[in-house]
Amino acid sequence: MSLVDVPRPSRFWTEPQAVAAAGTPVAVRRGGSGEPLVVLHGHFGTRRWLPLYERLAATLDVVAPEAPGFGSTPAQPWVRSYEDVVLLYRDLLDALDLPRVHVAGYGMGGWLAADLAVWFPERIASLTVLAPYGLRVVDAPMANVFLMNPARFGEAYGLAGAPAELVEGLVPGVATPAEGGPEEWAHRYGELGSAARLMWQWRYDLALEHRLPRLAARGVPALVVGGTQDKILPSAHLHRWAGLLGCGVVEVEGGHAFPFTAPDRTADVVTTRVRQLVTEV
Amino acid sequence: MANRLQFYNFSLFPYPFIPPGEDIESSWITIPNSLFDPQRAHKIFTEYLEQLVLSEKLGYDGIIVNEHHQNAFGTIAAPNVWAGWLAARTSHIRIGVIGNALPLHQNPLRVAEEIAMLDVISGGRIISGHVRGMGAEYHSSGMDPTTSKARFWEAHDLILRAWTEDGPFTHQGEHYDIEWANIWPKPVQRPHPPIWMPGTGSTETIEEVAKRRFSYMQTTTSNWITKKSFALFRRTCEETYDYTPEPTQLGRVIPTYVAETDAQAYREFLPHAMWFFRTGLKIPMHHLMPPGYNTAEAMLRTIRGRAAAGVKNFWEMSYDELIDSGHIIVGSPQTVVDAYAQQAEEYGLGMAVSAGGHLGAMPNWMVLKNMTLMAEEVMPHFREPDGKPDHLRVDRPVPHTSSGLAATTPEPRYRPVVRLTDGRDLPTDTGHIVEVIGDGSTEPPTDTPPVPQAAVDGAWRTAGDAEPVVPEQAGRRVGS
Repeated sequence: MSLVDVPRPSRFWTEPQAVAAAGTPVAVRRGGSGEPLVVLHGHFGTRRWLPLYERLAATLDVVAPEAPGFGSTPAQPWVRSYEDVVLLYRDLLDALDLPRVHVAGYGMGGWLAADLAVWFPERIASLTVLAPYGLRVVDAPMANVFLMNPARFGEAYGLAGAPAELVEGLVPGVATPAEGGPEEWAHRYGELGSAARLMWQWRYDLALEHRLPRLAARGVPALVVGGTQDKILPSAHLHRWAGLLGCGVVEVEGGHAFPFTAPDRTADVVTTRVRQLVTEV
Repeated sequence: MANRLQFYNFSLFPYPFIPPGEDIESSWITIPNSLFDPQRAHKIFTEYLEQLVLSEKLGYDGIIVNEHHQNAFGTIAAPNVWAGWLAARTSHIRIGVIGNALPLHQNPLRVAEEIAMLDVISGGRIISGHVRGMGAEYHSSGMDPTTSKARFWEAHDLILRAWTEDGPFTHQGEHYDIEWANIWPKPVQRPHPPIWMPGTGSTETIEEVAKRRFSYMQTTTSNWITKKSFALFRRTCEETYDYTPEPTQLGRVIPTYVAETDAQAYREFLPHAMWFFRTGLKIPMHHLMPPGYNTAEAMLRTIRGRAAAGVKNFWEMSYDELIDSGHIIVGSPQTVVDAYAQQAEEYGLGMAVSAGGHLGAMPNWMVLKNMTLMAEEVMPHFREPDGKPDHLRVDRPVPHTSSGLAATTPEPRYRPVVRLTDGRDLPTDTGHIVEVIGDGSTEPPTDTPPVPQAAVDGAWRTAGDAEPVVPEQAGRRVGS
């Protein structure tokens, strides 16, 4: 069960654990104790035990897997769409003996988290989506994360002005080969390719319009979290998600990268919600 | 008897009326098409077409168009349309579509049909280039770059099968599922038109082209990379596939400008070559390489290779660097002859592409001068004593005249007929003659079965056939 050797980011790198999910290797980082919370990464920021995860782990059992073709998890030729990753994550829950979990996902990971909840609601205690991709909101399209001038990354993702130690080496797409060296560049190019495999065609799933409302009906509580100055995902998306999920929106100060630049506040929002649900139960 | 080198005029149809490369992020994808003036385009596009038509009279071996989308560098979005126009205006020169970007099309059979139609109407003069399309074009089309390579090969194989095998057959692949593959028309060149595949020197492309015995066309690169690619191609043919490649399996896009003297050529070509490299080819990496278009491993090899060889971006090179590295050839007829002769001998170059034609923002008069000098002062050095391009020494697959066709083509297997009420089949070519039709009627016979016999037993009844004609395999063959 071997994982992929990857270039190590300058900060927050930790060695992942290899977990066999029905025979498929998945790289997993895990820490803390309490209610289990699975966090699903977006199209960047893998290979790290992020400050956000560390804060969440103060009160929760945080499980952070990497999807096929991301971080240390090998790409799989059979991954053609979200469904394949959802099935793999269901197998991962089995492998980790986690019958029911809270799940949170960022960006592309929010889309995956929502699909996981849609298909296996009995396994999901709550769904938290952070700046989630996956909906089409007419007249408010998402920015194109696959075609952006690297010179714009800082401004577009809200990295500019953030504490250097939080965003150092955090590149939300393919920049220049000079940045991080050829190996780092090629790795990011590969990861973005894995993201494209899932969401180049299509960049939204109209089926979610009809599927997400089923979650409230099935008793899966949800929460939508967004950045106050998100230039990638217009705020109209947050409200559309909230409308479909029958839940509220909490905004965190920051741009699209708010989980990276405001880990304390983001962790507070997520843990407060999870604690509230646990108490309600 | 074959010439030492073939000459191809390759036109990209740029629209050069845009700001300089330094003032734009890219000449692709995002450059606003409000800059495009159709009236101005009418003038330059018709000039480009006439330049290609003139190539036949000048003695070129072939003329080439290609497919690009949504950019100012090369505006031929529908190359098969242009090839049709060129086929109508010429009679013997070869016409290359180098190429159709297969994965950018939903149905590969559309390309198979269009090339086949072009081959039929041109009398078998088409060269079919197959390409993946520039990375930028995946942004522009919405097509999935992550499956592009796999779809390219599947589409290519399907097209070849459609050209070479009788239909109908069923294609069940990874990316295309076509129940009824049965193209009309089929190409006139047998087994199929020559195939060219362009590449930048990637080992994988060279391996695939060598294996299939197609022609490899090196796109605009330095002498160093070209020499290395050609050597690898020849070695792969000889050592892996046990054959010696023909010179016409190695082509190179090498924009060439020839004038009266070296100094004159240098001065005249400078602004046009520089527009081409500095503005036309201004494609930043984030436009050129959409995610998944290549693998991370392939990109790492490319980056390391480029770094080791000191390869610069096109728009970062000076005119002298472009000349010294061999990206372009510029000079007097003798200088150009020497450069081509050296590449033919040392690299194995068999086809010079972009050999004296339009480039960048070159005015019409300068293109005509370039082409004329190329034809009259350079080409003869590489020709057999008869001075002909190679294609004039071989018969076309289709005779040029109706009398030639009538004299050499066997009777068709079926003649068109009309089934008469009395059961006789009336030949359409003589059916208007009273002695032939007699008192025959075309009223449907009252006892005609509602379903044609062919549909019942997989057979086709035809005039003069006592028994129904049963195809070798009435059912479709299934395969991928």
